[in-house]
Amino acid sequence: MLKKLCLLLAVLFIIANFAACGQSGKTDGSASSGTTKTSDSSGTKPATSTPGTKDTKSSDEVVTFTWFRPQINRNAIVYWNDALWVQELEKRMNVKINFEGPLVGATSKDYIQAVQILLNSGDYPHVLFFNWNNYSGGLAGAIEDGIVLNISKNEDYWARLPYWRELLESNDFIRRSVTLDDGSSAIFCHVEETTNRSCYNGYAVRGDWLENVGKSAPTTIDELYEVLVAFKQMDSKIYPMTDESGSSTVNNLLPAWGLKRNVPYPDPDNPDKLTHWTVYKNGQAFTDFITTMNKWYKEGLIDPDFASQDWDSRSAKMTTGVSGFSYLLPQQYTAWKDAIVAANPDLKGKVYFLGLEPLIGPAGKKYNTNNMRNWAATTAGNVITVRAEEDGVVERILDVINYLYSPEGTDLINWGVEGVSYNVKDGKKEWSELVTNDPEFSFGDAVFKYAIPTWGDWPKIMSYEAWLSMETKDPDALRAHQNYLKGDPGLSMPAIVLTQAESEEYNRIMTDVNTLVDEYFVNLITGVRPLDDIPGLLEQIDKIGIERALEIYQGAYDRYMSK
Amino acid sequence: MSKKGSSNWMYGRRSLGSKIFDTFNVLFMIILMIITIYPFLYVLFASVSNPLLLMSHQGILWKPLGFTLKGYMLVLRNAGIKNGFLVTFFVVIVGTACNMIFSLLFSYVLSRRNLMWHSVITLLAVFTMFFNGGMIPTYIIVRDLGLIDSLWSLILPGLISTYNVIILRTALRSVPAELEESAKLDGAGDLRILVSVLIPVIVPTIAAITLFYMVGHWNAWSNALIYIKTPTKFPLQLVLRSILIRNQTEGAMSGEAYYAPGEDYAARMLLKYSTVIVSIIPIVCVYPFIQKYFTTGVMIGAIKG
Amino acid sequence: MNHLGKRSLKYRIVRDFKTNYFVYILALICLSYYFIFCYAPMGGILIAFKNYKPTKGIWGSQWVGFKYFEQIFSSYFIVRLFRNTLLINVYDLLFGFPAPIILALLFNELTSTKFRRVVQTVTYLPHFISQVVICGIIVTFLSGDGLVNQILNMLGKESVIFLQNPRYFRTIYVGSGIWQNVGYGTILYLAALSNVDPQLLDAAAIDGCNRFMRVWHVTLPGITPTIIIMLILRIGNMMNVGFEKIILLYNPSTYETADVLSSFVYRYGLLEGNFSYSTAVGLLNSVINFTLLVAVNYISRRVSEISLW
Repeated sequence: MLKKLCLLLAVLFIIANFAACGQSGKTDGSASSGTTKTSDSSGTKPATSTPGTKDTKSSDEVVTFTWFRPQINRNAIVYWNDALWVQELEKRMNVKINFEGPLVGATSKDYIQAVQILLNSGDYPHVLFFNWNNYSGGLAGAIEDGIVLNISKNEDYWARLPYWRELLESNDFIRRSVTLDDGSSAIFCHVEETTNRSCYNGYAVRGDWLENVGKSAPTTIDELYEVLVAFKQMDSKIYPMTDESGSSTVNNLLPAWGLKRNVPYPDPDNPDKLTHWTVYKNGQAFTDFITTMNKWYKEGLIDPDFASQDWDSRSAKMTTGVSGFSYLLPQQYTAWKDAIVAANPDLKGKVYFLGLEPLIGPAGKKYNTNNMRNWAATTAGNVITVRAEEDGVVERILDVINYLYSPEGTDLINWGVEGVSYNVKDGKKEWSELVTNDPEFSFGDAVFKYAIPTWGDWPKIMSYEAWLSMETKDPDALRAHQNYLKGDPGLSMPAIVLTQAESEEYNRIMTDVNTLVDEYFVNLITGVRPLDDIPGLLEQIDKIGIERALEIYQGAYDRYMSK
Repeated sequence: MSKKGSSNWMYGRRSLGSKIFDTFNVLFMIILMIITIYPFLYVLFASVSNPLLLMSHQGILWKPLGFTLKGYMLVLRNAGIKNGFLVTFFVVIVGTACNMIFSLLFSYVLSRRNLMWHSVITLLAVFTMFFNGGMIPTYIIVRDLGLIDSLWSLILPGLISTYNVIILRTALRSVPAELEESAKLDGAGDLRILVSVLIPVIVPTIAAITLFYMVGHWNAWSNALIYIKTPTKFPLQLVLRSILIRNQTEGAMSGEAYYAPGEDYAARMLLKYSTVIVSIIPIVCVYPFIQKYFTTGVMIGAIKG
Repeated sequence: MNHLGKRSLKYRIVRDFKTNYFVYILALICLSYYFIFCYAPMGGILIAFKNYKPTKGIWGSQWVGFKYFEQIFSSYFIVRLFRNTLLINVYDLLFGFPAPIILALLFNELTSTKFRRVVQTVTYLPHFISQVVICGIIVTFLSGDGLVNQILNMLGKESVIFLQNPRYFRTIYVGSGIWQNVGYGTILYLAALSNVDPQLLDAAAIDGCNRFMRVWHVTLPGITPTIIIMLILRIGNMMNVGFEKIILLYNPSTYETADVLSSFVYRYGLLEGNFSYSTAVGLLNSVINFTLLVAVNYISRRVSEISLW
């Protein structure tokens, strides 16, 4: 009896399985949602593949669409739909947005993997945020492959974006960043109101230590050296300069020598030509830099753990008085000061971090690594996929995006709702009590329940004012930011897009080059490798093909500049 | 009388050498415990410490620095974590049940040496441990079965772990043939033999494999990353991961990898450590119940009886 | 003669089905899982040989043959990557494989059950703490003024920056792996130990075996099938090194010994997003692993009669 039952179940089970197999076999190998190519360049409105006319929804109807992007995932708020500004946006535009996407950050491998699977299997959301450098062939490739809608090619669509078009027409930098080689534009990204915001990070030194050794803020590399030596003399256990794996402190000294790490950048002596840090001045600048760092290391000015520490260890060194010079982000000014005071209450009011102007080195200019020519968020942005067209929601989505670029929308996304999250006093906006005095969360966390005053990869215009009020709330951080602004943007590069063939070759060469240089870099500074190895290193890099890589990149750069 | 499975039971007087060995064994175990409990203690202490003091602290944590329960309050209020628990509990309970049923059935099949096709079947299963089509085709299959955004997409694609099946098979094969034969003489069919004779004998291994599956489900996040769209359906580990690893950028400033702009890093640290503790506690609580199956042997009187 | 042989084969197959049909039904049920979720997607392996475009699907994408394999092998570092991958696994096999076995045997020898339960529970804990947190602890311990260096200083030696010296990486990786996983790894062997027939132990004791001889001659052989199967499976994993832990512990100064195939591909992949390349690497890994598995399985079958198939 039992056996007969099992037999029956088994037969049913197997039939079900093969049915499933059959179905999957049918659709395997093709994008499930139809492959209507809507990317033809003739500009005519393409036909939708769904039966019945799913035309523009009337503006009374609530349109629902999906937006795939990382969830906000902050201390005070996890899902986008809980944010005040999103709820308000939905009300004003009569839409309902279903946010899909993981909790992790957009640059994380998890997110990239999740999106790549989406794209490669044909399951597109309506709107997608992605950095198209991570798609083989880039954004142009995605349009050609029939995934992304090329909005500017369609007159009706393009007509619905007056604010966005205005932005492009008024600012060449933005226009170049968001258009493809053929001049069309399909991406909607975050745009800066002023490039000042890119100078949010830079060097800082412990102000109280400077006072102790009786020196003023260093402005050149040589002066920095003196300061570090003086710090070391305070106590032999001190390693004045500290860093972490990924080397932000050491790396960001490179511009003083006219160098930039790992990526091609405009040659300071010849700005139309691109160079690489191993190639600039025939490798002499590179050699000088390493030699100087090696000297500093030998004199005990650099923390021996500098290349292998993690963020927490570096924080610990800066807050326990082991180090006094490093590269800071705005909230570290407050966080570290508070941590020092918590452990040493007698330093309250005395300890502070002093932000420095970019240092001048052998290159003679205040070069820095902040991307001061960056008006738009490079190659990462939001696109509308063909699925939106099939579901007939494109028009409303465009309306939403256009709204976000309007002055009203800018206020909404950067500040929230007037009277609730912000108030206007004498023409100046300030955050309301609700935001600044949140009982559970600090201001920096609470504000995200209501608005996004910082970057967030949304189609929006940044509000410099909102950003300042949030990230440089600490007066030290504000002062530092103003110092960082004094840098020279000569080494800045726009975001270049390579074709698939170009990027395959370029990546193959550069992964090898970067691996080799990165490896030698630390070992040369710490003295594990002798400095005589540098010529050999440069020769090897040449053999791997750095000149060819530069050539490829130069070609793409020229294409970009001629747009 | 004797403690089954252990070779140290007192057969007569213990020699001096034996006593010395026992002492060293205990000492070794104590040292081992100290070393292995440290990470747990560190996280426990950190989860109740003042994050500012924690930031400015280097080296070993002997005790919490300051004291605050704010971390746990943040955890309990975090929507992602609450949902994560519910989802994970479902997947662990239902998923492990499904896993064990099918794994036991399949391992029974593989243990029958008298089958002609036995090698072929084994090879078919083992081959899949090494070669698979990759994420995209699997995603397509899962989608075509209608499982996208369903919690079953976290259970079905990994339904049978060949690795675990092989372990179960090894255990089944080690059962003495006499047990089976005496059952067959009593007229039992395949299913009855499996359920009444074999399973009771290999209970320790079954307990171990059940634990493996449970822990596997508890720790799983990679399937959810790809198959689950609705954020309220993310399992616990996926949520935890996003708290621990902000952006994980490569080559960019690693500082940005650890917190988002404007964020209160101190609050983040609190959340981080208390989430780790909260996600370990359930599994640590379950373990002692399963453990008792490893410390008792089960061949009592089976053959003699 | 032939005629007889053929009939005999068909006859045997039919009779086999007749006697074992229930088992075959079970097999079919379980195999259907494999067919759906493992074999049906296997066409994806072809992605390694094609310039995969999602809208063209697997079958429609352009065939490029071994282009991506050539790309892998043309890297300046390919030899080193293979070497590091294999060496880390060899170290892990030599030290990490026996550790849980020995520990399980030691657990078995503890006289107090209560103490044993406590020790077991405690030693399992590191396994459950996420990799990120554990690596953070390791980094702190090994830093210039971390615990290990403090001990070295006490013994009069100079500090060593372990994580920046390639010579130590494998030791750190394997050693910390043992620390994390040895407790959890004993579970399986403990289960196997529970199955050792106590009557054999009694018999050995009566024959005059002392404690250690009993372990050597009775207990150990009792769990040998488990050990061998685990060994075979482990060797079938020789090309797999979990890249997450490598990424958390390495940095460019230790690339020489730390950079493995998976971490290199991770860096490469971030620049490009080409599925075909990573599929090709995965396929290469699988082929090597499987070949090793077949070889080891064959040897094991010859030598010990215990094998996977």
